Amino acid sequence: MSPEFDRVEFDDEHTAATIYVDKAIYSTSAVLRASYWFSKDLYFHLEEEKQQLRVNVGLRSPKATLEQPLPKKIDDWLPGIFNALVDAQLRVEIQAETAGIRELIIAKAFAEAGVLEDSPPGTFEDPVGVRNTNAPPLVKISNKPPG
Amino acid sequence: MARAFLPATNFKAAHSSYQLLPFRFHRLDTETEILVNECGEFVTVPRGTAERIAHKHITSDQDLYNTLKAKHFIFDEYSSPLLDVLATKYRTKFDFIRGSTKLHIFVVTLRCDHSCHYCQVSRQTANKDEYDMSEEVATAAVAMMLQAPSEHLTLELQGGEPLLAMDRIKYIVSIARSGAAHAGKELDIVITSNLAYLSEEILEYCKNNQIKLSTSLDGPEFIHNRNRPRPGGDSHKLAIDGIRRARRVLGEDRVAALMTTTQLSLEHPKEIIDEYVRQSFHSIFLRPISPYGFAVKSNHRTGYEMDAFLQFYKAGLDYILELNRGGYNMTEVYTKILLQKILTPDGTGYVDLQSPAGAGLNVLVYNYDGGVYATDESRMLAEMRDETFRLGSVSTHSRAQLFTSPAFIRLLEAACNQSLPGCSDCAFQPYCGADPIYHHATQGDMIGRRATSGFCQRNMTVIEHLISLLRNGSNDVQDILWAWATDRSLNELRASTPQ
Repeated sequence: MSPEFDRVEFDDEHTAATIYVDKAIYSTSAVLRASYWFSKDLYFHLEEEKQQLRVNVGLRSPKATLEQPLPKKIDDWLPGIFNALVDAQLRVEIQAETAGIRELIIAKAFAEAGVLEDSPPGTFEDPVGVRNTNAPPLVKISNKPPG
Repeated sequence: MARAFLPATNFKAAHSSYQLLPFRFHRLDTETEILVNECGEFVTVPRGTAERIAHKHITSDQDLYNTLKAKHFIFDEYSSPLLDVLATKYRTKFDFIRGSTKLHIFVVTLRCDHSCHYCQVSRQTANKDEYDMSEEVATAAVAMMLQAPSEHLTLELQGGEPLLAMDRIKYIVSIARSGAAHAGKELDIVITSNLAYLSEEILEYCKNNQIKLSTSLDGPEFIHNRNRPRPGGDSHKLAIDGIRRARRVLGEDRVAALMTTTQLSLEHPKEIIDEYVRQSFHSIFLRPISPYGFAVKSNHRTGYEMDAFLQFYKAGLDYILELNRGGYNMTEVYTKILLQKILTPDGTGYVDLQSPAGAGLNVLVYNYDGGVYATDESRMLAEMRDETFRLGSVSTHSRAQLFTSPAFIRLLEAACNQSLPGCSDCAFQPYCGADPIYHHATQGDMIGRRATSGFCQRNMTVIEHLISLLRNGSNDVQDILWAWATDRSLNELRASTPQ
């Protein structure tokens, strides 16, 4: 088990667990996004503490039923939850880094609808502006990371 | 028209400093993940690649760097002009937004001789005056249709069984044709009918007025007649006879058929597809039953879980691919729509896979009593006394009032998968749509919960399956899928591809 999850506590029947998640590694948004996809089978409750998030997770149907004669233990769900957390955190990071450029692309895409205050430069025949040496660059890009 | 580009050297990075463009990823299996950018372009890569990209571990001397740059997953200091290309691609994907509303469905009567298990309307003994669209309502509905900004309108006349109200159809067609000509709009007209009342006189009328026919064909006789009971139990015979006569008078391509999958259908994908081949159709839409109207009430007879439908769909698709390999051109419509979204720069005109959702924006339904609904499914809900998606009435509301109605505003708030929970960071978002009406009907919430959504399960499973076929399918299968996506026959595709 990955070191950042070394603190997982189980109830006696292993139908519920408490996962302590390091806030320096995982954002609340990532934990919520990961939890969302398990809500068919599991319930979640999050509590924020100073340096960690306390994630209480339990089986929705811990008892055997005709549809589910051998219900999974909470332990069986943990690897999937941990992988989902990693993915969700990565998605949060990609979205944070690309939010600005995404807005720019969409604004440029729909510029004809008047979303932009100024029309973007360039024409279909000369999108890069090579024929018009006085034209400003279409998009100014900085290599500095955002924010 | 020639386009001018800077020399290739201008696009080569001097070092590996790059930034990310918006993209999403999805784990396909233990070895592979798929990366999809904002416009739906994708690459399949070894697992862990998304993390390496995000943490800037890809260097410019790797082939992957150039692939990611060319496909708009990353950019560097030389990428500036390429962002305009990306914006153009984005605009192309969303071209369907331009010129709303295109499809206008008129429910000319609720009267029908069939009592289909999955239908919401069956008024066999109903009185004509009570359940036919009045001339006043028809006039107001046509006027409202012509106010739509779209320059190309489709008028679909349905019921009930619309051929039972031929006088009303003739009135609507006559004022719609002259109104469209006056407004400078193109107008396609389709009658959706079970064809039981298709006389030679009606066929001549359709021919003279360039009207297409669309009908239901649920499969071979034993399935069709069980799904679509009518007095005499001869629905299948009448539909087949109607299809043949209509083709003879109107032309082969002027008659279409749609099937609905019931519990009985689930066990017979091959028999259903064979029936379409027997009737010389070259496309079939394997459609799950809509969770509306009587389909919900008669769940014990027709309903099923999405898992069962997906098994049916996969078996059906396999068989259709086999038919194509054997030389018979046949497409599965839903697969084709998704492939076009996955493999081509275009979006889709199919309203159920649009975001913003096509409800209202791309389709409006005018009920026999003048009520205007966002989709046909909205009207089905209304038949079950759920008026959530009734936008107003042709008699009392203007088009502007429909689109500023509380019902439409609520719908619109849940109409973009770009901002829905679960969808906003889903890799398949550009291929999928938003369906607030489905989620309202099945989960009591227009936004819905993706973890238990049949809509999400269906689209995730089908898209994953198609990606898998595109990656691992035989050359034949890949060619067939590419032919569908690019609207060509297999032979045309192969003739245009260098061997």
